[in-house]
Amino acid sequence: MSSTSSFSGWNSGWLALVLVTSVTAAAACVANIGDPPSSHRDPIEPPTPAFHPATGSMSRLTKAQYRSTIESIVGPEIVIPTRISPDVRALGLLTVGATITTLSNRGVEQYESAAYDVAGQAMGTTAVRERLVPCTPSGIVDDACATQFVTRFGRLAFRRPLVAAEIASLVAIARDGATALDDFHLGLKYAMGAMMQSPYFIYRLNLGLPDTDDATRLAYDDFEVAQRMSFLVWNETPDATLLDAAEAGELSTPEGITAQVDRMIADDRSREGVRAFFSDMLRLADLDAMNKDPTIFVHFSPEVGALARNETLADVEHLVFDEHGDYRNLFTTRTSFIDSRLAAIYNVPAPSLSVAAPFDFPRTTLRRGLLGQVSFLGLNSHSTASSATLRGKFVREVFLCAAIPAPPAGLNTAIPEATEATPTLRDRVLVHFQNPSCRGCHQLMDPIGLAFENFDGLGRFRTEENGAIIDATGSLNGTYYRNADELGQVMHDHPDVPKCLVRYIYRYATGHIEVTGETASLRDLSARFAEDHYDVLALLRRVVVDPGFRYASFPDTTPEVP
Amino acid sequence: MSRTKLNRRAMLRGMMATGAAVGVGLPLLDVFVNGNGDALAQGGGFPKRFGVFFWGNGMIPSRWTPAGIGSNSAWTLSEQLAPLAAVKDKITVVTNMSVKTANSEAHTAGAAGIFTGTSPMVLGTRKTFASASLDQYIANEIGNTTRYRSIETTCDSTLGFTTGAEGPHANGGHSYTGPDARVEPEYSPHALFDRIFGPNFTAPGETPIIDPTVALRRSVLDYVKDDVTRLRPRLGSADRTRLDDHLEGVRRLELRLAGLQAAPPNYASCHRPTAPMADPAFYPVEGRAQMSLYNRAFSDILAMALACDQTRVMSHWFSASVSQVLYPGATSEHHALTHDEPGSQPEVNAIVLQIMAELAYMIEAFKGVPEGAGTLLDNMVLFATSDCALGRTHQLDEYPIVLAGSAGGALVTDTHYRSPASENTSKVLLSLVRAVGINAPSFGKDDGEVMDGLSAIEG
Repeated sequence: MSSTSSFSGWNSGWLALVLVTSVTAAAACVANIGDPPSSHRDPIEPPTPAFHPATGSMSRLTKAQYRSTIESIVGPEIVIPTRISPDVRALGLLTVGATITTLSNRGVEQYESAAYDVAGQAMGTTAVRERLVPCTPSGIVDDACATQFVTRFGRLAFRRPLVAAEIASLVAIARDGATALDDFHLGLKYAMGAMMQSPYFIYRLNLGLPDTDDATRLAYDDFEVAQRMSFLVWNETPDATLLDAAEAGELSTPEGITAQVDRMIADDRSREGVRAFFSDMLRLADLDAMNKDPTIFVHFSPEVGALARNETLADVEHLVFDEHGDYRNLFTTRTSFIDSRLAAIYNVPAPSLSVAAPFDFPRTTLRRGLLGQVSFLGLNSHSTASSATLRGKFVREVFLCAAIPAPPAGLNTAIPEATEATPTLRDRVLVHFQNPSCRGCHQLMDPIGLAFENFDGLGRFRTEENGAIIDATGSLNGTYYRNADELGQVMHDHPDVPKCLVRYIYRYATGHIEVTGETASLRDLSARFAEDHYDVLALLRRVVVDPGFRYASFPDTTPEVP
Repeated sequence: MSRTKLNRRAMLRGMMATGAAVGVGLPLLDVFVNGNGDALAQGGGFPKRFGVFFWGNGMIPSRWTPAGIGSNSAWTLSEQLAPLAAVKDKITVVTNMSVKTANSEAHTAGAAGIFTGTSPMVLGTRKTFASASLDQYIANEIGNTTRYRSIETTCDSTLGFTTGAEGPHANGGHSYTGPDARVEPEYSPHALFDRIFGPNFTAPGETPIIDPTVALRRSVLDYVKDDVTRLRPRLGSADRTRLDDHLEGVRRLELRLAGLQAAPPNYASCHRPTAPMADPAFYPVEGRAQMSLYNRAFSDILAMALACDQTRVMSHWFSASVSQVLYPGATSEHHALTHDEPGSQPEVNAIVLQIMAELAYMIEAFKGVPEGAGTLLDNMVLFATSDCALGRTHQLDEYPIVLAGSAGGALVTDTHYRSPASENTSKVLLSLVRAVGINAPSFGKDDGEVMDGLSAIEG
């Protein structure tokens, strides 16, 4: 029953993937993550293995989740500490990194400082204190009042009710603190600080309990389902209503889950949740570190990264929430939300002088969809020039779910200087195709990336490079395109594109790279996504009732008595 | 200060991860702590310290290698090492050494190879260290009696200072306590000052403040440990290991709090340094990082952190592997220049000279702290290196290595050693490990493993 076979747990699947990518290097360029998604590449789809869930997980709250959780359970008055351990992207997602990376000694120290910082603010701010502490203490020590505080706040912080022993320990800390510092509320500060340093707060725990209907697996309990749902849909901790639903046992059935997810999607917090997902998938946090040589890109300034992120997320939010549109239209839309700074980069009139507003790009700009934006074009370029390789790699990895290994070291990766004979990047990247050890991977990246050569390293339109007309033609999946505008349509029509989104959402929702036993979930969700006309909100509704979201395998360890 | 036991698990893991097996029979801490539990038990009265000064993107070997071989007047500094002239008598330059682990990942193979003697680990598209870095390995052995086991800093947060949605962060920093367990370096001089010399610091001669919150914080950590203990049995093996790392951090924090309740060490040169300027003073000016201002602020604080025995291990990741800092006078960022600048690369050369000037500042800061008959620098060794030799090709032979200080006479100074046969860089690292008093029979793994140090640099 304990799942110790080599591919049953996601941990072992993960290790297998590591081995494949590190050992076979360039030769792995045709391999994809998991099963082959494309029908043209593999006309006879292999049979779907029986559903077998991944093991449970322990995900450290991301910085964004840490912030939104404190805002939610303590209050908007709090200045949230930012000096906590940074998020790490693993296999494409920060959310996956949060389930596998470890916390350093300094990270523990930072959580301690942050916990007392927040608890001190909470107890020192009258409005917050009165909200969190539901009673007036009878003296410096008042165990009954401390119990009320600990019980209430603990349920929010741990995303489940506290057990009696936990309450007793925390009340003892509050009592010792109050006695030592002569102040009831300073005592509570230490109890609150303790909860915020507990692994039950810092980590989102997805452990599961034996499934009463199927002895071969575990089922996530109602509180675990509640937090899985809330971090997926809101990127935030469960609210009181959701915790109440969990406590009432309503999240053990698809009907109960659906009732809550409908409520949650109708709530505006879901906009933040969808933005958080796309921000992770599209690597938009990396825009903060985007740097361009100011002598070459005169329109660049350090704020451009954040503006570009806002543009992309506004477009996503508009499509998903206002239009309930087809996800694939993100590649073909000609409308984008831009402010005057981005309008200057795009060389179009600003739709509004103050705020970001919708603008319809004329066809002649060739600027279309997500792939026409600074968040893609600028992020996947060098600081001094555009890069066909980086742009093509991003398209392959993020939208087509292909795995492309890093180049071997010890070779000169510089692209030759432009000469009269080789004025354009297309001429210069030919070096990648003359060497067989480069060609294997670069043929997957460079041809796609060259489609965007009409946009420079920041994303400004151009028709020539070094006096030569830019050739942006190519073909993908057997379809010819003349330029980036037409490539947008090819991406829209590519069968792997929606399947890849399903994978990313599934990985984001579960915090791990899918294991073989989850193939059934992915295939089913992909089929439903098509039936739902590629509506992202409909997909979210499907994910939360999917077996892969609700069940786990037994861990690879035997429980020990502490 | 009570005598601290080495955490057995951490030590075992350090041994396995680094491949630098420790002579287990040796009562390690007795080397550093005398019978009274006093931290001043070295022969000369001062503990040995270890430091790293790292920069990204390498150098240019033809302009780096000193003329002449041997000691004192037998060798002279090269063009790129010229900024170190004032401290030539305190340094040793080792050339024509090679990182022997495979050059599989540009930059990361060099950084991981030099600091671990082990090939990097690839997790999907991300490359990371497969074992503890040298500084953290050493900190496991000599960092247990001080308030901070180690201190990590970086000046390469230029971009991180542009506060993003998730707050600022550091780019640099390649300290790892184990496989993929990275230690985030401090990027704010002011925050580092607060952390070490803030309200909790007691300078020699000052009366320790009896702070009741320290005891409360310790009892809270007991509670956290209980939570960890209750949670652990329900987890799978990988998550148990992650939680063990978390628990290790809690234990270290406990030790630090216990140290606050003890009397401060009494070193003659120790005093509370001047607080550095607030963060905005270090922000880039017109897109250009103020690396020098930044480095000097860190150097001054680190010198006092070592002088006051707040830590015995410091790692200054001046710039990151693949650093993209836009230096004063440069037409592009550092990494792009190493690949794109044609010819003899005068801009790259100018950047290396700027970096060596900053290394010189740090060495002089350590040299400026008197300790007994010598200086802090004499009682430490600062290991300066990069993530490759020639940045353009990510070359791993002709590796750049500068050592400053003699670790209490355990290493030679004012010497240029040029390997006759492109020896393994791990030999230098094994010498360093032994120089600070750790009895290790080997360093590195597989191609990177050595059993012998580099006797030519051992004093």
